[in-house]
Amino acid sequence: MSFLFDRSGLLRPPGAADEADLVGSCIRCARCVEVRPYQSIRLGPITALRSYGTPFIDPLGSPCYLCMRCPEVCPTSALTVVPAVESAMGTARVIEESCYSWTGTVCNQCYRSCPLKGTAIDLDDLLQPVVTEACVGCGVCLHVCPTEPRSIHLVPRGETS
Amino acid sequence: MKWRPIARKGAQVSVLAMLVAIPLLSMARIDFIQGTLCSFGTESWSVSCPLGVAQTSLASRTLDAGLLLSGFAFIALAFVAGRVFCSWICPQGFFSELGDKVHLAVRRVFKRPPPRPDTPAQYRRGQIFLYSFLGAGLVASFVFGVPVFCYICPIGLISRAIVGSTYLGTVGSELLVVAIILFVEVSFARRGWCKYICPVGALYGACTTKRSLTVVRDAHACVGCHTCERECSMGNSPVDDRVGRTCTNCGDCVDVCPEAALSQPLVQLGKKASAGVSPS
Amino acid sequence: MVGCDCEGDDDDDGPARTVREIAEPNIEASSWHMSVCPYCGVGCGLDVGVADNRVVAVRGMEDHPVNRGEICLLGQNLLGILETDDRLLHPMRKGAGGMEQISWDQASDTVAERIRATIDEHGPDSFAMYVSASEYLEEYYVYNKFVKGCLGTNNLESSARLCWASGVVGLVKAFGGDSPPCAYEDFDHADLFFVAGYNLAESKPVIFRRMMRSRQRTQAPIIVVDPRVTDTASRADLHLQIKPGADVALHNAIAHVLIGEGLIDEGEARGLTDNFDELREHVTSFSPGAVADVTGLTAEEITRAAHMVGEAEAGLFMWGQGLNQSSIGTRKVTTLLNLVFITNNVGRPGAGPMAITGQGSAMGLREVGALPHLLPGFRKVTEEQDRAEIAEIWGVPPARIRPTPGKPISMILEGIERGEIKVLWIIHSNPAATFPDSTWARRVLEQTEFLIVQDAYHPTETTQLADLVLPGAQWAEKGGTLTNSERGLNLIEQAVQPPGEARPDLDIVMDVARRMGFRDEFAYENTEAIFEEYKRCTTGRACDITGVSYERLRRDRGIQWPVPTPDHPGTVRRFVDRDFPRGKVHLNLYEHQAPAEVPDDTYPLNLITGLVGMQYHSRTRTGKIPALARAVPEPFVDMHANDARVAGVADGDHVYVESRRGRVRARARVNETIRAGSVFMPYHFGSLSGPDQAVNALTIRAFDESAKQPEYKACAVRVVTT
Repeated sequence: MSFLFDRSGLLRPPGAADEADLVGSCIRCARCVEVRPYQSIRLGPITALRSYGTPFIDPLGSPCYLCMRCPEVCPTSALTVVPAVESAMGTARVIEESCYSWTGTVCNQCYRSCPLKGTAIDLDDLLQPVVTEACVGCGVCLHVCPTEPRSIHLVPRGETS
Repeated sequence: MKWRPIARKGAQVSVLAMLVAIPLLSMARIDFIQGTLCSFGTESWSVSCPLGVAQTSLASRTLDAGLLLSGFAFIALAFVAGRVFCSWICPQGFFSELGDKVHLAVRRVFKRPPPRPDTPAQYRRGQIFLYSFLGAGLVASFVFGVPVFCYICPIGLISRAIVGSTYLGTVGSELLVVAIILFVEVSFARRGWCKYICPVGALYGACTTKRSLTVVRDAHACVGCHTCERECSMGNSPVDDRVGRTCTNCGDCVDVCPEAALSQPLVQLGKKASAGVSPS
Repeated sequence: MVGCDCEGDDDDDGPARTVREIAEPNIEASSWHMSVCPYCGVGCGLDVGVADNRVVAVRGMEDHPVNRGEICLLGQNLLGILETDDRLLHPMRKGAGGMEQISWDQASDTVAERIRATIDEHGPDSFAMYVSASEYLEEYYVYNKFVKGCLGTNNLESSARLCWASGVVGLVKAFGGDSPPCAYEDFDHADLFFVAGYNLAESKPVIFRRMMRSRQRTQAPIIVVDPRVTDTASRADLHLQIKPGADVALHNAIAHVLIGEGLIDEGEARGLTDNFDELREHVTSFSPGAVADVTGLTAEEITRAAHMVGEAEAGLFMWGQGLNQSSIGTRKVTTLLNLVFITNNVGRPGAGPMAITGQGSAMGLREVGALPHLLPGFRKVTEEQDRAEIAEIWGVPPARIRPTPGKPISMILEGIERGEIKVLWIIHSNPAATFPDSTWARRVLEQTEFLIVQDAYHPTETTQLADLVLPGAQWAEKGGTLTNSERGLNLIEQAVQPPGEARPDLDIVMDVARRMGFRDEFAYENTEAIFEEYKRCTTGRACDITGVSYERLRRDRGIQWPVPTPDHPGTVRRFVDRDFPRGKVHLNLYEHQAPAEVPDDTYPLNLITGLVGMQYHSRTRTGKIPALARAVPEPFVDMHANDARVAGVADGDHVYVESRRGRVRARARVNETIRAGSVFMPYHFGSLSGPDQAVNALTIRAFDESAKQPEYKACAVRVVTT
């Protein structure tokens, strides 16, 4: 399972309450999992302890595309409806040392795939990707990054890198 | 065959089928309804597990009007009809009842005497444990900030195992807990989980009043054969007018009574306390 | 920088200059070979690292003038195309129980016999060959000699037809000959970039970065004309979000403003062109206000664009499939070239029409004449002297080369349908996925009496339909030369042996030719001998490479023709002395014309197909590389929010896109990156990608009037929820 980032911090769906509130208020009903159109939300396994049965996103498997459907069906305050630009899941950072576009191969997949293209990830004058403050941490860039290992470092909200 | 057992099995199987169908529908891109017995509904309405509502409200120390409202449906059901959730809806109840059949068969095979109904003292002790456990869990939810019962509640575990194995492609490791519970119930403790531990059932039991649906004995028709008492897997004894908060209104006693002395009158108005419910 | 003819000074260009290498972990390359990226027409130089007959590393060639070490995502992932699970390793023949492996002897004999039999019975024109536009010059030369010189039919067609036919016909109509005048160096000198229907940010990333690097230094403005807000358009100073198909009206309107407001030097324009006053007269009715409706642009936008064009000292005009892939593609291209000429943007550094092809050898195959109307050295089959000259070099009777042009692919397929063409030999191309109305194309290919498909992979949408498949070598498994889009020649060294029984394509075709009795014609010792013979065809022609040899190509990278002598340095820029083939260039006068199929009540949206940066063509190479495939795993459809609302579609929904010809299941992407009324889908997906995924099942069989290029950018569709 590759959902473990930075000391087991989970990437939570958009509009998620802070970690302590989320694990308390989530009723573990899986409705966010079942709502379409994407199949991005997973449920914490029993080994996730406090996060058992709570929703998280594994961006390497399927990132969040900011369809914003999951908060709409959450019966609790675990996920609240917010505009996509305020979904505040985390923050991505480009690892420039291994990023194609920063090392001579024009790539820009992260920029092209970013749901907030031009806002959260922009390109500098030489078409090198730069993540801005507007990044909500949806993980699409991490998902599509063609380098191995990926040249995006994604820190879930509440975690420090 | 009476209508009630068929209807009840039908309802229980339908609920299980729904638990499987919802994630399958979602996979087929039909997602207007989502959820499990912990909470289900559409974008415009929700029905949630009242114990889940209570726990998460305590754990997150917030009160959410919409959430409280969504938990009210099953509470209202319990007010009207007692623990019918346990006998008509609960998937664990379904498995537990099947387990009980196995338990009885095992007893016959090993030439053990049929189980005896709980004595009033045993019944009382069981109830004390049941409600202490419920109370302790709610306190623990508040203290630890997580809904503690959700880790052991077979209803949620079964629900999430189904979602996991259909939709997420994960192995339903949760079913291990369910299997242990069933093993204990089959081997030692007749419906022990439902009777002595299940906090969801306890909560519904706590909601029953004198006005709630229950089993009523016609003392004139009753010949005192005790068939009903042997049939009840939840430790009640209609023949002695001891039908307590564990009664799930499954109606099995009504159906087995050779004299048709038992009934579940829908309207309890005007009944005498001695004729029916005497919650211990 | 304008006017400076020196190499661009690039010392201050920031950090993106490291050579990056992608390599198999833990394997050290024991030898390095020079190569060129086999994908697009830019022609980036590559170093290919080999160990134990395996390509284990690929990196941008640091001292290559085209890319100077930089490459794009596709080139970066070239390692992944050679050792795939679906490599075709043996010749196979369709038998009772599916495809059955046969020996090369059996395969070559079968092909030779079938071609011989059909030609004897039905005449040479009952045979046709359709080749990809990514083969090497030597290969095209051999195919050409075999088909036109030996078999006596001109039915040698290439997939360049789907890609740059309109552009080339446009260049020929305007210049009087096919000779792209510009060099990539012009990116460093231009002070205006006019980009029409061209998303080079995704299709030519290395060139796009070069353009951005230049702009960083010169602040040269960029005008992009595109119905979509592409990555290119989003970096433009002026984005004209035109209604699809209205380019002729726009170009004429810009000419109207340029002439009307005196933004050009009319005397210069008269000196350069042979019919300036006709154009002047023609565009009077194309005022910006008059075309506002048809173009969907405001008069102010058009006027502003005209002013930017008029004020530029050196404007570089680029176009892509938005212009070419249209039933009026030639009109669009020639009217754009009108703007180039009346602003005198030709023959000077930084100025001119920059035509960068989508396929690696789309320039080279034209020089070699691997098209139905051409012979080597830009000669025409219709010219008696051209035929005689080539027949002499080929050593075949002049009468054997037919004086009538062969068939373009659309007519080849129609010929198969009518039963006129019996045997079709396809080399490294996948028309069952890429031809418009692909359901029809598949049906026709399937009914071909004998379909030979030579490819590196099996199955593809086309090899699936074949009677005989031949395993061809891929890229680094064969050697040869490529001409890039600035007329630059480069050598690709064979780095490894092909896998299994696969052979270099040259060997396959020559083996068949020899079995048919053409031994003397194909008595080459090696690939270089073929190159030397081809060179003789170019002497004195526009594409003169007499002064180039393999030895020189190993030393000098990217020598630009004409190169008449060994000490000639190559020609960076054409027409510096205004030495046009016809003396002057010609202005083409056209009216706007609507596409063959326009949206109506039943099919209310216009479908534009195009590429995405991480895929190439029908994904036979790039679709198997997870790093590339995961970003776009299935077809998507970009819809404007207004259109989505009408169709009841939400972002992320799966929908069906339906046309009169077929339907495709796609993921809806609702956004504002496309003009309302149009939808966009990537064209990469074929029937092998999954059920209802063949995007070309939607497109229409409408073709440019002169170039016969299909119209991939306009057909009527509707979007329905699933």
